Amino acid sequence: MTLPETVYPQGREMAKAVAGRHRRGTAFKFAFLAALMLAVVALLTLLLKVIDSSFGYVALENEVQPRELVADLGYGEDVDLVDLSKTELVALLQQTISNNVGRRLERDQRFFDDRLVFESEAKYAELCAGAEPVSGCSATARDQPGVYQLVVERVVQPTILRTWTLFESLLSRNEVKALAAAEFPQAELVFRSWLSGRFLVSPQAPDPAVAGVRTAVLGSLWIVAITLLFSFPVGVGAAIYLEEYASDNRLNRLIQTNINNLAGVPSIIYGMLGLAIFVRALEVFSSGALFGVGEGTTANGRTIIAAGLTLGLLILPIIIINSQEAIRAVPRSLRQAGLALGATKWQTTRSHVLPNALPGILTGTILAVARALGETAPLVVVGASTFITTDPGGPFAKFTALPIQIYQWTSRPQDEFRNIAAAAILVLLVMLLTLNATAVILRNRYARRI
Amino acid sequence: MTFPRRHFHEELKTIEQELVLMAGMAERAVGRAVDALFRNDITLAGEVVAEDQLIDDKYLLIHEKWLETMALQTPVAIDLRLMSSVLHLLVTLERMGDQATNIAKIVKSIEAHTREPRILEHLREMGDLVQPMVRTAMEAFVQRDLALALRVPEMDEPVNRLNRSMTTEVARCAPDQEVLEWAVPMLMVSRALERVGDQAVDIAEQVAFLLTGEFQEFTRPDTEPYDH
Amino acid sequence: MAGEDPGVVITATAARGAADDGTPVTQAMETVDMSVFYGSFRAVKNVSLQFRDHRITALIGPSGCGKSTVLRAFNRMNDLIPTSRVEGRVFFHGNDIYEESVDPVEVRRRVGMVFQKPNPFPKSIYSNVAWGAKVNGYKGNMDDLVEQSLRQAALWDEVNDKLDQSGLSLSGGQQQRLCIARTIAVKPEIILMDEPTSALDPIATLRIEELIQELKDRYTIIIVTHNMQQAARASDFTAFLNMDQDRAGQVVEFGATAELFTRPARKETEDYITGRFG
Repeated sequence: MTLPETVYPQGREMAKAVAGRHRRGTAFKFAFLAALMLAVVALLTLLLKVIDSSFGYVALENEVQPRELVADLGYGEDVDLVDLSKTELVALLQQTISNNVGRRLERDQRFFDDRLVFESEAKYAELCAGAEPVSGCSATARDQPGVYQLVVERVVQPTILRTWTLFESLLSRNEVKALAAAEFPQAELVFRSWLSGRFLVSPQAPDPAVAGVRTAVLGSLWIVAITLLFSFPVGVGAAIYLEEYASDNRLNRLIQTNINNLAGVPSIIYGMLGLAIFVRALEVFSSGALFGVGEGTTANGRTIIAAGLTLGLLILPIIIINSQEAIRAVPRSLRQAGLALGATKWQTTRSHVLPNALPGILTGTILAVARALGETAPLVVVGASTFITTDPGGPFAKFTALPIQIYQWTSRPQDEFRNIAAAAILVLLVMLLTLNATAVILRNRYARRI
Repeated sequence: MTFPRRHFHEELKTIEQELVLMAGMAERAVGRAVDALFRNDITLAGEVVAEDQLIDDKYLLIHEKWLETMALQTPVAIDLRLMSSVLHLLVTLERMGDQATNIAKIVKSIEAHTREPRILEHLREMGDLVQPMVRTAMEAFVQRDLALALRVPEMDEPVNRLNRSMTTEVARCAPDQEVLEWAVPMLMVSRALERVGDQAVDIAEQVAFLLTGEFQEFTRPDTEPYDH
Repeated sequence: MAGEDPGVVITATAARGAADDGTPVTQAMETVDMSVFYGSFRAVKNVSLQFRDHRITALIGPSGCGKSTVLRAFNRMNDLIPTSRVEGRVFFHGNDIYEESVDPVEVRRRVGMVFQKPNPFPKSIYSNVAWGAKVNGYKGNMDDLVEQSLRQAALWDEVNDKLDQSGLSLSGGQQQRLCIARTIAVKPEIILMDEPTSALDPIATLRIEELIQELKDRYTIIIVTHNMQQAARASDFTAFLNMDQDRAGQVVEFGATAELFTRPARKETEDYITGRFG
């Protein structure tokens, strides 16, 4: 039976119909393009705003000029304050600050490991032997950037009178100069990169002019390390069991469903869980008292290990699901080939399934870690310190993390805090981008191999 | 419902049909040669000789198709046995046509002035016996009828008998030189007809092989002192 | 005589008794009344076959008639499917491989398998061949074993200078021969082949058929094939399986390949191999 010719449009009618179909397609294409443009514009705006706040002119007034301090020590124009050695910087401090302040600083954190500057050895030893030893007893001594920061903070004493954004600084440079000359005649107009090397290596400080992200970055890295150490083996192990060994019965399906659901639970709930279990119930463990380590100020469970384990629980379901998928993606033919040679299930899994699933597992793990890096709410609940200046000494130390630091700085009123918050955001973005890029490179490299 | 190898099986059918046509031509040639002998019809004998060409052409046609089918279709089981028996039949029928031609050539060559009626009768009888044999064997082939095929060797019995008695008959013509001159070639005619009978039996053997998968020489009653 | 037989499965007399040269015939594998179930569905019914030592036996039949299921029952690969169940006996050198005390891992070393789509490991050629031996605890010289296996698989000459290259860098036919080599390396007695050439081009196919002939001297081979010509070319014995009305596969006829392809005993067989089925 042949279809009659007139069932389809012919000739000119056909041409019109086809043109209409093309037009509709083009309309959709532009709609999708518009969606893409919207997303791009939104992201670019975010990025530009952050960059805008990270660089710009600053009207700065120093109590003591760094140049003078350097000249006093006999150096020439080529040496800056930041180039001085720790010993020289400590000497500068000694000249300026009172002994009381010096003693307080030294009790928080010593300047040298081998000698005391402001305190007598006997008194210090007495303090350390007491019931509640000061933090300086167990912490490592301050390093050069830390001491430099102190010198700037307490000797140079810069006051930031006004900051300008990058675009203002670049585009309306003359107006800025005029304004500064008019309103702040005493002050110096300096172009400042809030995001600088110094910013990265300086510890946290109350003064935004000198504060840095080192404390927060190290805190984040410590937490993420513990997160990884916990969730990777546990997650991958669970995934292997679920995919290779678990039989398809009601119980296992229930477990699977629950794991899938847990991946979607809001992160603050994990924070509450972490608070209840790791901080409170397991305080003995997480404070380090169990091991005889720890700050000793109060048997306090709000430590890095508690935060790390909490985030570990958070990303555990994600790692399990992702690893399961990676394992499932290994073709069945590979398993059959292995088993048909008389290998046991574990031998086949170990030699063929896991190596082939590994790229997928690693990619997913890296992405999960990137997520953990950016988590704020659970860390707040678990008890990130809002203000610590010492680097974390170990897993049982008090902690802060980069997102927490950003959150804290953005909630302060002064303009300068916005600048360093923006700089810190850039640091966080770079860390996340690096992790994501690593994941993508890994994935591409292994995809090409197979 | 279309079978998966319809084209192939239609090719097989075509080959069979051509073979049946060829068998008809060969059988008719034998009959007409005997007629020509009986009536001393030289013209008819000439036609028989000429028409052998047609049989040979048919042979080539079928053989070509046979080769093609073997190469392209790789037949197995019953189809393979069919192809095998077709090839045997092809050769046998071509030889049958040659026997008819031999008889016709003898008719053309002799001066049939004095003929011995008894010998003619025998030959007529033989001709009347072998033609149905060929027909029966081909019928058994077309119908795939084993029972029918098994009848053919029995029909060969009288033909052999008549052939054997031919020597005596011809010897009896000895006193008359002229008759003897005519009678001796009649021995060859008798032999040719006996051969046709054997060829019919061969066809029947092939039919049996086709149907059973076993090849059996059909026992000929009264084995001859000399071979055919 | 080709005609209807009462529905009794025919076992070839050629499979039992003495070989052509009078030496006693041994059977590498024998199934007695074997049925395979997937859950409650019976996929294969009452299969009774004998596989002669050092011979090639082919299993042919239409799609879905259970040939692969039967094959996989011989090395207990069906065990991997949770709902599968085997009834009846499968004897490997006299021992039922489905007995409680038998470890499927051990069975699979002695009964190897080559799959339809070549599936070499994404490792080097050397590792492909050596891995199976290693996990089974091979104690001898591995280099020698790899060379020997590759030679037996007719692949050595082509790859001996690139043993560290990935197995996946070879052509399809070479990959399949690599799979055969790694199966040989664990020194099985029987090699099962599930449509080993259906994914390969004609030349590669013929080379593998030739290889199978060479392997006959050392191993017993059971091959499932869709391609009847292949069964005709390459096997000594052939079993024809077909589905009955319950979609369960069973053996219709089993005999010497030459016999089955010139004068099959069952009309059902003849209809299938001559293509006279609807």
